[in-house]
Formats: sequence, structure tokens, C-alpha cells
Amino acid sequence: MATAYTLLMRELDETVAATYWNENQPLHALNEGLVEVAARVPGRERVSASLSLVAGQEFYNLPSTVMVPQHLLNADGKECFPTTHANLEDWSAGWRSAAQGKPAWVVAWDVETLRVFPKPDASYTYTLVGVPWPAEQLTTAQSIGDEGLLQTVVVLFAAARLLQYTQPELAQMKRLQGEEALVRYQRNLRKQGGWNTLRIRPGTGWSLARAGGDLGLGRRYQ
Amino acid sequence: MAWTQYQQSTLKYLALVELGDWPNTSYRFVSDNEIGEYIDEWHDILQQELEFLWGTASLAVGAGTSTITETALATDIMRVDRCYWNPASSTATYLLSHRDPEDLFLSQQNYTTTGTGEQPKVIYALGTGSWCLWPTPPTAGTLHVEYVVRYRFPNQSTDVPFPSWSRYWSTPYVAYRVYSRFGPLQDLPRAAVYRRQVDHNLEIGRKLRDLYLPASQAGVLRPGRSLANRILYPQGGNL
Repeated sequence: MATAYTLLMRELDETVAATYWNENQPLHALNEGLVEVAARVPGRERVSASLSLVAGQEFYNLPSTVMVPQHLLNADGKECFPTTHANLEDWSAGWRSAAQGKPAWVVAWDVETLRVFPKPDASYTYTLVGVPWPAEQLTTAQSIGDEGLLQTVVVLFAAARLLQYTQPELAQMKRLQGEEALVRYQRNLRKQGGWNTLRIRPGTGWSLARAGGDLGLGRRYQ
Repeated sequence: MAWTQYQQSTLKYLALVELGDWPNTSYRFVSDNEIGEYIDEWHDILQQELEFLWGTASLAVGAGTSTITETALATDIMRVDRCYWNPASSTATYLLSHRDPEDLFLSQQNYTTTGTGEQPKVIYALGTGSWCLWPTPPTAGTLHVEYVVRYRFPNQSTDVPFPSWSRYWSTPYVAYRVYSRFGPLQDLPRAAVYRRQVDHNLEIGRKLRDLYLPASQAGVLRPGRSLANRILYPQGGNL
């Protein structure tokens, strides 16, 4: 199968050596599509990175390999509880001056920083597990994932993005096609999960699809 | 690995590409200053809507001093959030309540003369750029403030402290402002399309931000959770 850039050029009715589009524009659009898919369907990939805690320090930047933090594991591999400042305040009005210890709670301070509680009393090495960065499209020779549904979704979203200013109806069609592909991508991910897969088998008597599932396949057979 | 962190110059280049002013970077259509202003505006909007970037500041406050000038705390405060008071003679640090002067007046008409000897419990805004502690601190202490940052680019080449997945979002806003300004580039229908892209990007930002540290690890990130929800609650419950 072709690379993401090649597929996008086809959607734009362009040759690979584009004449109308600056080469960077399709690549930027593909990257925008990757971010959108990451936000809506984070996928199953996980990456872990070390987080070195220092005594007395409560703020820590996200490691560069983690895009969206999910779990913070302590040195024993046990998960820290995600919480909020409001919950900490509910627990104790003096939480900020609590005795230092082994952090067991974590707050998302901002999009680049985590806050642990209580403040570490010594150096610890924790592990942050999260969603990894999708491979940034920097060249025309890259594919997305295994060139399957995910690549199709991103290419269609990118095409919609680029066409919306000059071909709004076509862009809307690309958007709809991308949304449909996204649903199929989500369904495929669920099938890979091995959880309740029987009920998402399309077209059978007891399947969710027949009962009027997300793509309405069952309705066609009634 | 993380995407390459961007600078203001990156954003200006992206804007020029979007406006069709490439490969030249001679700003034929829109001036460098104008694009820079729109990029500043966008980051204000990003912070107002999504509050991506936070900061902390501390200020030593003397006994008997109740008025705090915001610029003495920090010069990049967009919105003050949590404020904590730490009396000098104590290790305790506790949250101050945000109130309006009207609230204090309703609770106690002579609030300006009461509470002598007590540590501050309330912080309220006197106006733009000034805050007041109540009661007036009887002893010296430290005010700790956590706030939403109003980001300004120090120069064109410093890495911007926003996540690099938000790199492309300023471009539609710049184009929206350029095409909606009176002048030879004015194109209101095109500006409207860019405006929709701006709203779309803000929605993506909210979704990404909401994915951080899910409280329920069991199924929030499992794709197709609406499908799972219908299986568990056929009558149409919500997670």
C-alpha cells in the first residue's frame, strides 16, 4: 500500500511531486489529522518512561516520549491515584504543608507538568505510562501505522482540511468518509481487545449491529 | 519521541504557508507584525479556553500589609486560581477563599475593622491588578499563588512551552483574522471556514486535555466506549 502522503496527493488529484500544494502543507495536514485521531481514539499503544523524583520537588515535566499521561507507577510498580486539587483540599486544608513522604497521588498540573503528593522525602524512580506520540509526518515516504484503517482516517481528515477552503462540498464528503473510517477503526480496535467480541460481529441474529448498532448494518438485513 | 518543539518563527512560517506567501518569507501580503499580533491573540484564546499553561509565584508579605499588587507577584498572570497563605512562624500553608468585597460586606458590615489578630482567610480583588487579604495579616507571611499564565513570546527562536501537538492550531486563527480584515485580502466566506476550523481545534484540545490521568482506568480509554455503554446499559445510560 502507498504512503500517507501519496494517498493524500491522490485525494487532491495531484501528482506526488505536487504543483499546487507546497509539500509541507499536506504533511502539516496529516499531522493535524494524527493529533485529532489521538484525541478521539487514543489507541492501545502505551509507552513507559522513568520519572526521577527529587526530595522536596513536587512538579515534574512530562517525559518526551509520553504524549498523554495515563498511569504513574511508584517504585514498587503500584499505581498512584489520579486526583485533583479540589480533592486534596477536601481531604486536608493543610495538604500543601503535609509531611514529605513517598508520593501516592498525582495531579495533572498543566498539559506539560505533573504534580505529585505528598512531596517526595527522598529520591525515587517512578514510571509514567501513557499514550506515545504518533510518528510525525516529516517526509513524503512515511506511512502511518501499518497502512491500514488509521492511515485511511488520517488521509481523509487531511484531505478535508486542505480542500475546505476551495472545495467545501468535496471537503465535507471527505470529512464524512473519514468519520466512517474512524468508526471502523474504533470497532477494529475493540475486536482486537478480545472483550465481548461476539456481540459486535455484524449481521448475526444476536449481534449489536442487528439490534441497530453504530453503523446500522443490522437494519439492512431486517 | 515528542514532536519537535516549535518557536514563534515556526508559527509565522506556518501562517505564511497557509496564506500562500511561500516559499518567500518576505511578507508580501501581511506584515510580520500583524501575523505576530494574531499569534499572540491566539495564545490568549488558547489559555482562556483551555488553560494549558500554569505557573506559581510567591510573595513575602509584611505584617499589617493587606494589599498585594499583582505585578509584584508575577507579570504573566492571566487568571489567579488557588492562593495559599503561610504565616512566617508556621509551616502550615492553607487555602484562602476567593470572595468579593460585597460578600464580605453582606456577612459582616464592619469587615474592614474586624478580624484583628487573625491570619488571613480571604483574598479578594480590589480592581484590576490589586488583591487584598482579609483579615490583615498580623504577622509576616508568604502568599503563594497558582495561576494561569498569559504567555508572551520572548523572541522568535525560544521554544514555546505549549505541547507541540498544538503547533498547527494558530494557523487557522491567523488566516481567519487576515481574511476578515478590511483590505485587499478581505474574503469573508473564506474567513468563516477558517473560523470553524478554529472552533474544531479548540474542541480537539479539550478532548486531549481531558484524556490526562483518567480516574477510572478500566474503560475510559477503551475505544468505542459509546458502544460499550450501550451494551452495558441498553436503555441508554451514560458513563
